[in-house]
Amino acid sequence: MKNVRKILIALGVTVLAFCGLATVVSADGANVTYDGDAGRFVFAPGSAESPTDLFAGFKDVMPGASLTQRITVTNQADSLKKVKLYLRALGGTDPETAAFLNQLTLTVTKTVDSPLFETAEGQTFGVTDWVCLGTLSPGASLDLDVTLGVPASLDNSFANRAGEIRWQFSAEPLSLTLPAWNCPTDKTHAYRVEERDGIAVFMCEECGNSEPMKCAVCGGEMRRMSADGEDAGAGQTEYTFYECRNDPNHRTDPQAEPENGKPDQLGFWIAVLAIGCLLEVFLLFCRGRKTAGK
Amino acid sequence: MILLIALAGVVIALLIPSPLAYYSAPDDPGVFGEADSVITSGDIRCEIIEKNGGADAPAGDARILPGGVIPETVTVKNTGDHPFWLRVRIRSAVDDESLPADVLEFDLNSADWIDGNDGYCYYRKPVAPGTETEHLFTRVKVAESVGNAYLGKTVKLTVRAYAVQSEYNDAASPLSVSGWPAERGGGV
Repeated sequence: MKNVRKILIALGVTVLAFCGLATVVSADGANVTYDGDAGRFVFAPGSAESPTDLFAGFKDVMPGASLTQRITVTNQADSLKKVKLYLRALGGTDPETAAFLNQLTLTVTKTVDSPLFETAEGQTFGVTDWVCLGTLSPGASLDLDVTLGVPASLDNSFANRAGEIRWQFSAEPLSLTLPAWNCPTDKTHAYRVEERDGIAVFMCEECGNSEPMKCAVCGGEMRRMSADGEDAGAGQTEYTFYECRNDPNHRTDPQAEPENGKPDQLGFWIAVLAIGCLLEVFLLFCRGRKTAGK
Repeated sequence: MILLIALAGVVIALLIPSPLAYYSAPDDPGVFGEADSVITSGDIRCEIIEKNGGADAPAGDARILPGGVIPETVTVKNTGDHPFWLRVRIRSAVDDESLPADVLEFDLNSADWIDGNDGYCYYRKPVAPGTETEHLFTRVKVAESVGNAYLGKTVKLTVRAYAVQSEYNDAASPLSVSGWPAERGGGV
């Protein structure tokens, strides 16, 4: 949404400034919330120019300014699903304002990390590839620091201008594996999950240590459910999921039970291949010796 | 033979879906949202305010004799949203020819303005948005030594204000500020 206004400038005014740059952190933060249950993103605070405006701190900027504002990205899903979040920039939405945006620089940094992407002057905040912001558990958030650079050389022709840029956010829900647990006595001990008195419990098969399974969202106790959504009780079924006793929305995806510490399939067959190769080499060696002995 | 069996096992294992998640950039994101964000630039604006002071002030053009005084107060107001440094140039002319500097005398407010000795008077501090400066002068006096040189002539008095942003433009004194605009036409 464009908002280019022409203002009558009084006698002899200019916006040209020349001074050392000072970065100012704006208190005008923004929020991006992934609502996994609704399957959508919610952007705040918005503005008169755009309901999804994230740049509350980049209004009425002046030459020489270096402004930073924070955008907080939150995974607000109620389920136990972690979400992998991505961001990409699509650049300016209006070619007419490209000349203005070309004068500015924009850097996006995940706090304390290296820049995710940055645009140089003259690039109109160009298109970027998808950038992974990270994986968020339900309720977790991460912060992005966005720094806008306004050159001191920006002259009167760019006074009172507006430029709009478009960002896209993407969410990739991740299937949860069974919550990890290690026996406190020896983490190499194999374990299984049992249900005792309606509560899912990790049970070490070596030394008998046990610990109730806890909900990753609220810390509540979990219970085992069968694939059809019924309480699986103490018996084991091939595919189950686990549900929080406090809130049935806190649940894992259906998955296979861990089988007493057996290694995963891929690892098993790689080991088989390695053993097969060694055995084949040994047999060839033996045949060779036998042939040579004749 | 054993090697072939093991290799077949690896192929079969790779074809079976694993509970692990594979991470990659989304080719076709299932859920995404678009945010359109706007960046805007500011400007600075000022207005020269002229007041012919007092009930006795003549309306319209003033007729004055050598040694006479015309009450005239000039201030500058910041009508924008950003503070600025300010300087003002006063020009007087007759028939489009500049008058010598000693023809008109002004009671310059030296408490709030600095004579830069470069043709400009500088306001000592940045002018905040919505505020008005202290007066530049309050009266204009025709020097007694003028005599009949400009008898019947019309003197045109022009005051021009020049402003530059004070944000990101710190200076100990307005005399050391950079970025002043070039001379322009027009005036009050």
